[in-house]
Amino acid sequence: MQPDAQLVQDCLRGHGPAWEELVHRHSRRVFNICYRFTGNSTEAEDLSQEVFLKIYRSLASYREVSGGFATWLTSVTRNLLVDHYRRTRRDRLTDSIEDEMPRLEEKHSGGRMPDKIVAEAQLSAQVQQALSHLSPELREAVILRDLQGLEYSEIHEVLLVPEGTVKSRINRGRIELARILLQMGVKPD
Amino acid sequence: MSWNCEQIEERLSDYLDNLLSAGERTEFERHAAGCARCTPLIARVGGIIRRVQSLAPIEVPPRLVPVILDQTIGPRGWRRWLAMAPTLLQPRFAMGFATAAASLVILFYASGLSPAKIRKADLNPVNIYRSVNRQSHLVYARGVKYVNDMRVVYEIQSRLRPPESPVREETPTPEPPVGSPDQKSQGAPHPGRSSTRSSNLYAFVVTQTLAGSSQ
Repeated sequence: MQPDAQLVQDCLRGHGPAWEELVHRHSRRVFNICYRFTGNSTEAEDLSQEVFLKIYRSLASYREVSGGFATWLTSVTRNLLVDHYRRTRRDRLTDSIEDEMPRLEEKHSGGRMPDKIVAEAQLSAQVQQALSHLSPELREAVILRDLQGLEYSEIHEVLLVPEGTVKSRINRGRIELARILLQMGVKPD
Repeated sequence: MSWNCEQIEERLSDYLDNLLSAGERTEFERHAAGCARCTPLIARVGGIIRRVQSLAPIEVPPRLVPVILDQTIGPRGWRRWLAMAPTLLQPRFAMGFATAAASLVILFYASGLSPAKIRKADLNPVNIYRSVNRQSHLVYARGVKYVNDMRVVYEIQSRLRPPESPVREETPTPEPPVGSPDQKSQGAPHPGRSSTRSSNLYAFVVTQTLAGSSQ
């Protein structure tokens, strides 16, 4: 598998398949961050498109020494999400944020899904709902650490805050998330 | 100095992620073992976060990647052709395409067509059939004429050629006088026979020409 940095160089030389490969490789990560942050699939799709469009236009500014491509991509995604959050704050205050639960119930009632898949889908929806109650700072820290599996140093590069602050946000976010999920009836492992 | 509950809560994630030093870990566990408030907190938060971490990533909607690619590097059809470009430009393929194109151009002009004179009506299948039919008949007629012409030429050549064995039988060649360089008598026919042959030849050519013109 070609490294990301090589694919970026190929893209800059106008090699279309290299860009296709980059999009295929990283679309899941970008979409998941967007979805977990916004809690809305359509919004997450729109934001993912926006992220890749921005990345495509600024590929030339990517420097390998400034961190891996995935970290750079995550950083761009996070900045767009913050902009989006500020832009839509007023709309969100009047909207319901619980738009994921009905979809899960439809899946549950209509299919013959095994119990394990149903349980995971239910937990996923509950986590989504709990995340929406966290402040954006704690939410993004928990998403990057526990749902994306980033290291503390990578999160520090993405958020551009001191590592102590990263640790503190992750810790507070986790305790808050656990409290909300326990209230929702989720059992610990 | 042993840790208090606030310290345990502050360092909980460091404990869960194994980021505490050995000494810190010992202090942490010593406090947790004897604290009725911290023990359930660690178990609950640890248990819940492990479940969150075990969640599989959400599947990307199938239309997302094509839409991104359309927005960045253009529609799919173009992308496929652009992706094939390096392969198609390899020398073996490029030479093949060039040869095929040259052959088509030659055939096009040989069939009597001219790009400047092509009209829309010429692309009608009926007109294409008529044109091909006419061209094939023309080619056939030209071929027939060519063969007939060649036949005339060979006839003339064969009649101009000196007869061999029968002539030798009728008039045995006398021994040429020694010293006289009579090369003509060997290469050219007899004067009397030559005139007869010329008249025969003239009659044959006239007949053939008349026959050709009547066709």
